[in-house]
Amino acid sequence: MSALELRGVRHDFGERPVLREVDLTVGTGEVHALIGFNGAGKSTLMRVALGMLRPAAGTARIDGVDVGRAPAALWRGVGQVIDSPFVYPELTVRENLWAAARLHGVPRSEAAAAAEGVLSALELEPWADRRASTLSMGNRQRVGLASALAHRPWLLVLDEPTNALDPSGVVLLRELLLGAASEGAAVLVSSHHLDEVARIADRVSVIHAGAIVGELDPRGTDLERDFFAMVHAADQAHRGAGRGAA
Amino acid sequence: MSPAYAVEALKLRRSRVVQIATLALVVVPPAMARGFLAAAENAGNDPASLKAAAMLPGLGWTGYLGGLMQIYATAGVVGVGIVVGWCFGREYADRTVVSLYASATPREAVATAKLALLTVWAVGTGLAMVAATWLLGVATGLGLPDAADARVLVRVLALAVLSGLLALPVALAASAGRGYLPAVGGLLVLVVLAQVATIAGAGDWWPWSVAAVWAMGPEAGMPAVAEARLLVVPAVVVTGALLTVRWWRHAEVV
Repeated sequence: MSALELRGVRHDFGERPVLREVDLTVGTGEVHALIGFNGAGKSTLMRVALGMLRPAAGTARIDGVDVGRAPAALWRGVGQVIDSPFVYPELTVRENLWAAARLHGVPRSEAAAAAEGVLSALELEPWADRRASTLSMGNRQRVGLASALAHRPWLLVLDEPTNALDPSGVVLLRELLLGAASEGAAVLVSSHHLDEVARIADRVSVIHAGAIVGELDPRGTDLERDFFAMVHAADQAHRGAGRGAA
Repeated sequence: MSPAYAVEALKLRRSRVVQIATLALVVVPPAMARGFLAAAENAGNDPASLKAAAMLPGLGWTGYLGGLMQIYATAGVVGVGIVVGWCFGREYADRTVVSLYASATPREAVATAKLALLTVWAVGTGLAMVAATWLLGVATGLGLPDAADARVLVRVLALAVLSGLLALPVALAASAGRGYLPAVGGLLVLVVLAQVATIAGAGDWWPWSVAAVWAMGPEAGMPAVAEARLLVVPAVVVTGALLTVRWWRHAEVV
């Protein structure tokens, strides 16, 4: 059974289709990357996957359970950074991580240790007692990622997690995701950075105009060219279908 | 303490909005009321003294508490409403609400904790304001209130608590409107409608007017209101809370 499974997901914003019959799975111990242009549907698909958005059709299941009916115990194993990270500006970095751990089900007696663990893992110690409102964008992103990892989830869904990170943050995140996957976590990550995707992903799905148009080999020699060729072919096929229908 | 209560309590404790609002609600209304009384006691012919004397129902504790009720009936709703609007609206304006999805702590638990803690804060602030009123009155030479004034002080206490509670439905405007501005708009609507209802003679049943009309009483030219009518206040507060929690349970990320 897949850790995350999306079947036949379709969604529209008004009359504009944003997801078209999307199927996608993420297995345990797997890093599955989702790449596509801005507006391709990556974030919307991730929102559906986590029950933030009810799709017009199709299902999203985590560990075999429909996300619309998922109990708290199931969510305890899920970490996510979608849209804005878990960062409350009035709290210190340490307090933010403690709060994230508590809300994700870490017992009170273990929350402080969990916060310290991710403080160290994301190299946030120098800012631990500073209010989050004083942090740079990159460090806010680190706090958000640490918040998603504090409870040691077995499913991670991260939308553009390298946003605002400096090169050392990108490397740190890469190591953390690979480490989590090696311990059995399933990771769904979206990105624009094909070279970064090539370094961490076991599978790479290309989403274009709301549809999964194919998979790329992350060990391919020219991922960028393969990506554009796949998107171009999808556009051609779409136009051909349009003319055929006319 | 459950995670939702622990985290929301921490956020409230650390919030400058809450700290400033608490200070303003506890200190400013008694200070203003005492200032009006001082102007009225001055008995001069200057406009401020004449205006203050016309506004207050008397001198001493009677005038002080009468002025305070007029101030806090609006200031309590506005002050608490700003904090309620911030507490809920900031999750949408800052987009932090997205990080509350896919969590072991259901969003309805978070909303419930917010409402419960805001209720405790609003009641506590009202109590502190009354304590400050008593202290300021005694410290500025009004002496101890007599039995009649003490009964009015109890009505001020009830008004302070009810005014705070009446601001809680602003949470629904902040949530459904997804931000601060709908909360401010909702708050303005509540305050304006309360004034209109009082002027139109509906102040003895309109939920956002009835507490002030009851507290000020016939001695301030208001109609007499049976205590039972005050039950409309918890009714609208509970209804607003239930709708807010329902919103948090079902709302999608947009």
